[in-house]
Amino acid sequence: MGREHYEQSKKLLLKLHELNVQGKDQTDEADEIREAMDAPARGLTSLERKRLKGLSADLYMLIGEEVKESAVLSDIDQEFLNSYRAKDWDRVLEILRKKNLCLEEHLVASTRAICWLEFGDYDVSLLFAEYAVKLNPDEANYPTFVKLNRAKLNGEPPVAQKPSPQQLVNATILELSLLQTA
Amino acid sequence: MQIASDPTSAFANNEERNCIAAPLAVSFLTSKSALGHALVEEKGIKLPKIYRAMLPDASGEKPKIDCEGGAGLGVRVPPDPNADVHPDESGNISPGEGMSVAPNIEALDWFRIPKRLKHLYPDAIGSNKQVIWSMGEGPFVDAAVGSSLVLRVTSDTHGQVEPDKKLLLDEFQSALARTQNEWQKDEG
Repeated sequence: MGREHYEQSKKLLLKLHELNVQGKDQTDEADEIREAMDAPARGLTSLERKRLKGLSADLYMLIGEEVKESAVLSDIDQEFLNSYRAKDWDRVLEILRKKNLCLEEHLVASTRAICWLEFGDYDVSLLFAEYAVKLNPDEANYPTFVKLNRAKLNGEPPVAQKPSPQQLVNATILELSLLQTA
Repeated sequence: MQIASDPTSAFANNEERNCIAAPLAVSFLTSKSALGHALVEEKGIKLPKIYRAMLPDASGEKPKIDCEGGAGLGVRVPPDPNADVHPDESGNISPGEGMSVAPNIEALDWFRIPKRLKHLYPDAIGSNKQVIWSMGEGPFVDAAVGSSLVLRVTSDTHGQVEPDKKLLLDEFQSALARTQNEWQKDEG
């Protein structure tokens, strides 16, 4: 029990988005996946449901089709930093969806990867970590971050050079600080 | 599956697929749901506002009466692995199971909201063939929604249109079909 419905729903959602990437999201195959999503979706907790709804929106980032929420938050940068420091990952993910958060895309991707890593969803974290690498191949932490997720997914022992999410946090904070002082 | 341009034809089409509707219901199909209409017009009661993503019928103006695929007006039954209801040995459906609905569009499952509405609902990844429909005007609370039908709210984001008492499966499917004219396109 526990995460059974969640894992099943997530797996199907990832498969559906994969079809979307391939331009096959309006096919019978995609409809069958939607059908199969009904039953596990009924067993989701409200938090799980909220996370997967958010994930469905966030996955559009990977194909450059993300639609940011237009509702703006005042002092969004500060709220983002506070949520990050408090490790309120669900809130961090919510804020990342807002239109008025000024953050480079690779940082959005890597921050999403961190959030999903913290949830223990290494498959999702891996997708965003890989995307962060693609967006910013010069960031030294990102490839290690990808390796960590792969190791977790394969059930391997923690890699010696654990990527430092803290360094990523610092990079994010630095980025925001620069924006605020600009 | 053949699209039912005439709502009554859906019954014939579906009989072979465990989706049986009582012939006696057919006469109601072209008019407003009997109880719903009576409640609204005679007693001034507002039926709960409910939303559901469904395929359109051949006219494109009303939801398709269908009990397959979870994308029509009707419920799925075993052996469908995603069955909405499970009739007992006598073929009866009891209150407690029914057709899923939501109190607003945002509360619909993200994989049921058509992807073409992504600019409004960024998580939408549903089939573009489906349309979002709503019926009723009142609050999302336990209440009658049609002849022999009640809304049972199961959470802030989900409810079920259920039989108000033990009903034969075909009677229940017919009662759901009778609400066809109450539904309006409503995609925000």
